[in-house]
Amino acid sequence: MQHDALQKLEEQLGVRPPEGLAALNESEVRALAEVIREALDQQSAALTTAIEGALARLPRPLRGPIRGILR
Amino acid sequence: MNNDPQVRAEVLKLARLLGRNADELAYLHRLRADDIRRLREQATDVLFEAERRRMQRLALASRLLTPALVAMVAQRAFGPLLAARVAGYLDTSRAAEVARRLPVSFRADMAVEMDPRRVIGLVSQLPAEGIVGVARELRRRDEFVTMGRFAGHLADDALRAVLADLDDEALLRVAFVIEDRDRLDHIFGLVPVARLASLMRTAMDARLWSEALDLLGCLGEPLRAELLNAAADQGDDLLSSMVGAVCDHNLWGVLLPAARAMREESRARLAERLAAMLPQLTATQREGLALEVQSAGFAAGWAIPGAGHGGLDP
Repeated sequence: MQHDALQKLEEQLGVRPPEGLAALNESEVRALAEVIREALDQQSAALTTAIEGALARLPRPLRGPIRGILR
Repeated sequence: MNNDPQVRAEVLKLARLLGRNADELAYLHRLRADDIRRLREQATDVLFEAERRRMQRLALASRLLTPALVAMVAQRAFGPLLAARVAGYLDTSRAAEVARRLPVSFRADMAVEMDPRRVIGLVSQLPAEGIVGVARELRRRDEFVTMGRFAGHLADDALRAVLADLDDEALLRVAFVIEDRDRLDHIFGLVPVARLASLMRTAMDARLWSEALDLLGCLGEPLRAELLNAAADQGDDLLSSMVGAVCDHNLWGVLLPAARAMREESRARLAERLAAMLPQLTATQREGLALEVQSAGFAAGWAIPGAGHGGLDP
C-alpha cells in the first residue's frame, strides 16, 4: 500500500515527507526509501574507511590519542 | 520527463546528495520543484545526523592536529564528500584555517557536496578572493547548480567580487537555478547598471532568453525596468529577439507587467516590435496576447489588430 510505503519513508527521514510525494506510486516511494537507506550505509562505510586511512597517515605518536577520542 | 528546468535542477541536486545518477530518480520529475527541494533538505538532515557522534569526535580529534595536517588528511583520506560533511562540525575559524590550505580544486569538489546551510559561518569567514577562486573553478566546470546553492549565503562583498569576475552567460545560468530566488533582486542590485545591457545582449547571443526572462520575473519593478530599458536601448534586433522568445515561451505575463515601468520611448519601441511580430501570430495567439495586454493595464492604448481592436499604439 502506498500509505505504508510513505510511512516507511517517514520513519527513514524522521519527519513527514513533503505532501506532494503522494503523487508517487508505492514502488517509487519504496525505491526512494531504499536509495536513502543505501546512501546512509555507504556514508557509514566510507567514514569508517576514511578514519582508518586518516589514522594510518598521521604521525605515530598522535594515533593513540586520536583513537582514544574517536572511540 | 518534466521539462521544468527547476524540477530538473532539483532532481539533479537530490541525485548528487544520494550518490546516484539523476536518471535513477526520473520518477521524481512528476513532482513540484519545491517538494523535491524539501525532500533533499530532509535527506541532507538525515545524512548529517546519522553520523553526528563520529563527526563530532572527528572535529574534536582534529584539534590535536595542525591545520596543515587536517588539510592533508581531508584530501588523502576523507575525500571531498566526507570532508564536506565533517566541515559542518568543525569550529568555524578552524575550518577556515584548514580551508585556506586546501587547493582550489578540492575546495570546489567540497562545495559540490556541501550543504550551505551548515557552513554559513565558514563561508562568511573566507576572504572574498578565496571565494572568487572557488567560483571560478566551479564556472570552469559549468557547476551552475552548486554556485546557485551558495549564492544566497554570500555576504555582499564576496557577492560583488564574484559577480565582477563571472561572465554574463554564467550569471544568467546561475540565476536560473539559484536556490534562494527571493535573493535575486538583492543580488542583481549589486550588478552595475552599465552591465545590464551586456546581460541582455548575452541573453540573445547565447540563446538564454528563458533564463533572462525568468530572472525578469523574479526582480522588483525598478530592476525589471532597468533591464528592459537596457534591452530597448540596444536596437531592434535585440528587442525583436526578446519578443520572439516571449512569444515562443508564452511569457507575456512576465514581460507586459514589467513593461509598464519602462521609459516611454523604450516602451514605444517595444510596441513597435510587437506590432511587427503580430502577422506571425495565429489568431489564438493574438487573442491570448490581447488578454495579457489588457490584464497588464495597457487596455487604453495597446489594441491588437485581428482581435476586435484597432492598431497597436502605446
